[in-house]
Amino acid sequence: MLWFVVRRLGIAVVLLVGLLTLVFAVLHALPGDPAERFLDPDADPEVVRHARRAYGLDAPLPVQYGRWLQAFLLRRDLGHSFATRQPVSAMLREAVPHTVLLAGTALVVRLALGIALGTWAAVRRGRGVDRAVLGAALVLHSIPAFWLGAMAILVFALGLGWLPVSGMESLDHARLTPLGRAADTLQHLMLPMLVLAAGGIASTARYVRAGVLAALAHESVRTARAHGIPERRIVLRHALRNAMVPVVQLIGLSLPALVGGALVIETLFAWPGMGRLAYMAIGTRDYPVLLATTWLSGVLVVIGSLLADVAAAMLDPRQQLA
Amino acid sequence: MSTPLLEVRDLCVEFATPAGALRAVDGVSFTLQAGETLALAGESGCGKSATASALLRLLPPGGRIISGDIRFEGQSVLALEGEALRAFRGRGVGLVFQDPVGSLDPLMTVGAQVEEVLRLHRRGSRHQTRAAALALLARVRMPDPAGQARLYPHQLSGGMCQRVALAMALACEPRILVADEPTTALDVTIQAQICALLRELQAQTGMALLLVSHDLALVAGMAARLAVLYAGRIVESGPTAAVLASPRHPYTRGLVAAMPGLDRRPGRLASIPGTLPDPTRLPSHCRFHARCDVRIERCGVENPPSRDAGPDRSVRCFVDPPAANPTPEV
Amino acid sequence: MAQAWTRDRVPAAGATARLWRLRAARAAIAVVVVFALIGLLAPVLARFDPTAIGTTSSATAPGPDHWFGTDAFGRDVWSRFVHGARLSLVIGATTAVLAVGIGTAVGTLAGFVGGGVDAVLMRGVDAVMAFPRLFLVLLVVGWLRPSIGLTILVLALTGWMHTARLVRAEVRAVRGATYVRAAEVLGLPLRSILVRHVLPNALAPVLVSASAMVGQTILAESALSFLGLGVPLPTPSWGAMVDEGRRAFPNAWWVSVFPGVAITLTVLGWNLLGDALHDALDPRLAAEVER
Repeated sequence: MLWFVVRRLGIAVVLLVGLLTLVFAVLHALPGDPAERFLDPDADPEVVRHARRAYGLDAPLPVQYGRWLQAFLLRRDLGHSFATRQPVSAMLREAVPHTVLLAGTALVVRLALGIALGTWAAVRRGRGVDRAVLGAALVLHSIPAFWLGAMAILVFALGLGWLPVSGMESLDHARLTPLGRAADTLQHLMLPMLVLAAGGIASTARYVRAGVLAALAHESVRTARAHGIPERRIVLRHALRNAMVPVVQLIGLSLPALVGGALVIETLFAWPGMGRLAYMAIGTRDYPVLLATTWLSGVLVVIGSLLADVAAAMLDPRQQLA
Repeated sequence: MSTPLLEVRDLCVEFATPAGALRAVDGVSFTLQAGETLALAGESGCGKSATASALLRLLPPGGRIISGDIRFEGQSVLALEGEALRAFRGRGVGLVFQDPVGSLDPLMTVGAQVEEVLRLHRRGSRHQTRAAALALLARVRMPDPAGQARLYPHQLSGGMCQRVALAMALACEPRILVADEPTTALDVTIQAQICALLRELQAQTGMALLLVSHDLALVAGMAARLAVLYAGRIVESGPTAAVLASPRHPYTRGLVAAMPGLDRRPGRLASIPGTLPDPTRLPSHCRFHARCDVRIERCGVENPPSRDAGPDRSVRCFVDPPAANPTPEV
Repeated sequence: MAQAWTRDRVPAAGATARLWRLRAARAAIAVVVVFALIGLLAPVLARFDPTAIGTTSSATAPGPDHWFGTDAFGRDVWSRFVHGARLSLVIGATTAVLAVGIGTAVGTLAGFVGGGVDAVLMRGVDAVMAFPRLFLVLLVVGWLRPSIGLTILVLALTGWMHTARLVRAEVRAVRGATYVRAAEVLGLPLRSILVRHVLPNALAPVLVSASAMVGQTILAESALSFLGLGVPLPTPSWGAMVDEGRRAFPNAWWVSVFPGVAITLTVLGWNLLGDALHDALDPRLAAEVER
């Protein structure tokens, strides 16, 4: 088991470097001079030349690449924002936990509801519940998240006034008690989190349903029944557990979409996370921020996949052989 | 005669298929006394597995018992529901399957699986259950119960997994053990070991054994009584030795003749020409008619009933084989 | 009680399930065709110039004059809607064709040649797939100026990976098949083996993935437009319309509703079509799916 984790960690590290390389390659493959992009388009050419030297953009590509790797990975220096002059790493340190909170809770809700609905649909196969779950899965999979969010805001925030329209905190957040602050954040979290989770609930349910049906068809279920083991235990302890393995792996595969979806949701709900940071950086042409957030989005996915793989291996020892 | 432990009367099982209703078991009747071994033999598709599954009401999806009766210790099995059915399974009748590795949960250690079954049927602390599980694994002659109990099914060989399956079935202390092709997926040497083990366990516990197999040699070594199935019906039954030595039904004769033996002269293997009838369109006359070498006109018109053919023997055929017909040595 | 926990009702010979699927497939084709027609006939269907800013009315509700109402600038929503359908159609189809083309090429290369080439290509695919698509797209679109061409290019370049994996799997399976090895031994040229044996087998998953890709592309493009990074204004796009509408919340809510519903229906149609194609092209799987 330990060896398996070490091996996966090694792959993850290699992947992180690879991601960084990819971002670097994309940047330099695109038409346009980085120096001109990094600076005021109306700047004096002399200033541009000076800046180019200062930013090290006149060095040969491999040297730039090396410096980049060094800065990002060893010194954890992600540059400075053009717009706010703050170090990017500081900005991200503040923003990333918010994204993790949003995406993390959405993932948990998605899993919990998806597993419950999927199992229910599997044991009631062919009946109304099953059809409803499958139908809902198809529809939710096709609804654009930003539209669902906009409609949710329209109905629940503006129309019914149940939940706040946007943001993470109310204006008087700082003056609330710790419990009050938590409740306030939770209230603001509700709508964006549910919208982010919505699409995924249905597809998770579909996967779980397939997994449970496959597990129930396994010979070992017949054996368990033959020994008189109660049906409930068979479904929950045997079938569901077996079905969980591909579902956990699915988590890893769905992470890119989750983090990407967080970007849109954060922008819509003005949630101060990494995605919103990236979006605003486009408006101000703040490339250091843009680069760092892009790379970090990949990092989050890689870390999440690693965790999912380890979880799968814990559930099913056969995975360690892969 | 005391009440038989298991009594099956005119059992009929149907499966729903796209091509129509498939009658896999058509009027099968037999009895099983306490402690005895009965073999249900026949080729693939004859209905023997369906019969075994029906006994525990564990038919695959699409299968239904449409008529007949199954009585265990005098009580009707078909009337059982819910808790009572659960108690019957595993306590009354235990089942061992053909695929030893596949019939175990791949995500649980074998020790945990045996413990799970034990916990259902016996009270006891965690510690006691664990000890009992290890004792069971030792009883099925696993070389290293403590060590192997921690392994997962995919880490064990087929023979070991079959022993674990046996241990799980035994954990319920069943009165009857149904073994559905228990050795088909195993090597010949392991087959012999598992057979010996079955015999030993039977002697120890006094349980009855219903052996389902297509392997006549296996059956000859294990079962006291034999019932041969063809196309969903029992065509011949009786004491194993007698049936195999002097088969009365042409199908049984064909089966026995087809067995290659070490003491026979090498040559072409005998085979029964033709194939099983289409199970969705069974003829209303004798089902073996098309392949039979002694058929008479009546065979093409009516279905022969099962009739007495000697002490404790029955056969389903209109034709009484003349003494001149050579019977092969077995 | 115990039996009641798992009430597995297998439909009689799978007929009911098959019927539902057939009905769903028919509905899917209908939806896809309807929206495609709307898109194709947009100039004819539009009743006003989609970019013409209204002189009098600003944000009126749907009525006989303006079927879908007008937005905050007084533009006729219906006209913008049908032109948005056209845009979705164009971008969706072009991107899908491009992405599937790239994916098929890469997948065939990786699957056929195998070895080091395969390993490098697949690691590359893994790396690109680790990035959330939107972030990558944002990076490129933020760097350059948004346009239809750029949108199509970027979406295609970030969407080919799934197809590549599918095709690679199929090609590998066929590659190892005995009849292909036999053809090689007989000295048949590589190109002819590829064209006559390998590619036809890969056709099925390619068609299915192309269909699903149109749906995904429409979702991605509308998300981009929503963020203001898609096709530049004032070209109407469904995603941008949703954004415009929500900025005027709670007034003029209809500006957001119609395009959103349209996106949902169109994507649903393409996804269902993909499913139906999947079942139709592989009867083995269709039987499994029904169980």
